Amino acid sequence: MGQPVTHFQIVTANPDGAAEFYSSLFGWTVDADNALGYRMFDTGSEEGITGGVWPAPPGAPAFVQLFIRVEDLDTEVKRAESLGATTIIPPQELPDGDAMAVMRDPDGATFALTRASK
Amino acid sequence: MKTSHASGPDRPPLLFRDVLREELGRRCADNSRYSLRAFALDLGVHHATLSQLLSGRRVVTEESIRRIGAALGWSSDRVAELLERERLFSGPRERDEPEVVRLTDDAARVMHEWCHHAILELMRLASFRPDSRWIARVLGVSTDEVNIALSRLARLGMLTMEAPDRWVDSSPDVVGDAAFTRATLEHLLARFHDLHRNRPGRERAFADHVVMTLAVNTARLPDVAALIARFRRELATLVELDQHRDEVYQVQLTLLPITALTNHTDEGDPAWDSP
Repeated sequence: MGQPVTHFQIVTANPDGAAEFYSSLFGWTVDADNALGYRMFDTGSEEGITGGVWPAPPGAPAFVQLFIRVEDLDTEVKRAESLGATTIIPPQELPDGDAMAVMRDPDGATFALTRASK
Repeated sequence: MKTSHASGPDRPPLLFRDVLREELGRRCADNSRYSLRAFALDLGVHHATLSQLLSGRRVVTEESIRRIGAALGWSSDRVAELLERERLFSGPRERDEPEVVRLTDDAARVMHEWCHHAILELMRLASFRPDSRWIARVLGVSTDEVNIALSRLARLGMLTMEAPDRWVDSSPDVVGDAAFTRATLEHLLARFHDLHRNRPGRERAFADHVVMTLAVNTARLPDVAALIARFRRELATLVELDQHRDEVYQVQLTLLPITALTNHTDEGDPAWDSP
């Protein structure tokens, strides 16, 4: 089954600008019709992973996070911590039914662990 | 914050990497040909890993302590002691400093930007919907502003999404009598619902919301109160100019002490009386 990378997220203080840029560049479409108003990219392809844009406070640098899907979110968060990761946002049950935790790896890069809807 | 690794009275106790350094030093003293590579070999770890551990460039994990502790023949009590020391005294490492700065900034913004408290107060309402778009509409801010605030509250552990339809206020009771009391929000909510009900396609109503947090000299407060009274009179005079009026708006002016640094009391003080 594995623990695949399923999603990328661009975190930026200019989410509208980022959505517009990538849509213009690659012909992607953006759908934010969901409870969090999350800008979800549709790349128009069956290949690759999904992606989206999340807002950052003004002045914050833009960066990209990878989302890794796991079976047992709480267990994997603890395992990541035991290997030196820091929990930035503990597991949250999102309105769409997925669950997510945001971590920082030992070298400072952030990533998210997700669990698909039960 | 950097942690001093020196041992002795009033100083932090030795941490795992200090103990390893001492052990390496002792072995080198006993055997002039002994090296870091030999030490790594004895411990069963790669020499690069050991070097990073000793220099502080690699995070000390529980697994590291248990594994290396076993190679050094430590008792379970000794391992537990070092695990506890690491937990208590290792402190924020250099790589964590941006995290500390960000959390401090998060906390400051949560304290001073009204949107965070407003979201937490909204969550008390029976009609609350865990939907950023709904929150944004009710508070009159953008969905992005709501999501930035939600991220902050979640990072600080002040908000927990326990289920897709249940968000929990897990903040300490720091809100107190902040500007957005439950009653005020219930009222605002009703007003916004009224505003949007049965009016499809209507442009968003004009709305302005300003919260100012100011350091003041309390001796100046009577003047502030007088200024507010004058503003109220001028505002009333201005809107009275129009015979025909087509909407009802609400203006809120709140002057509240945020700190209690002096012996100032509001009892009987004209500054706090309704002007």
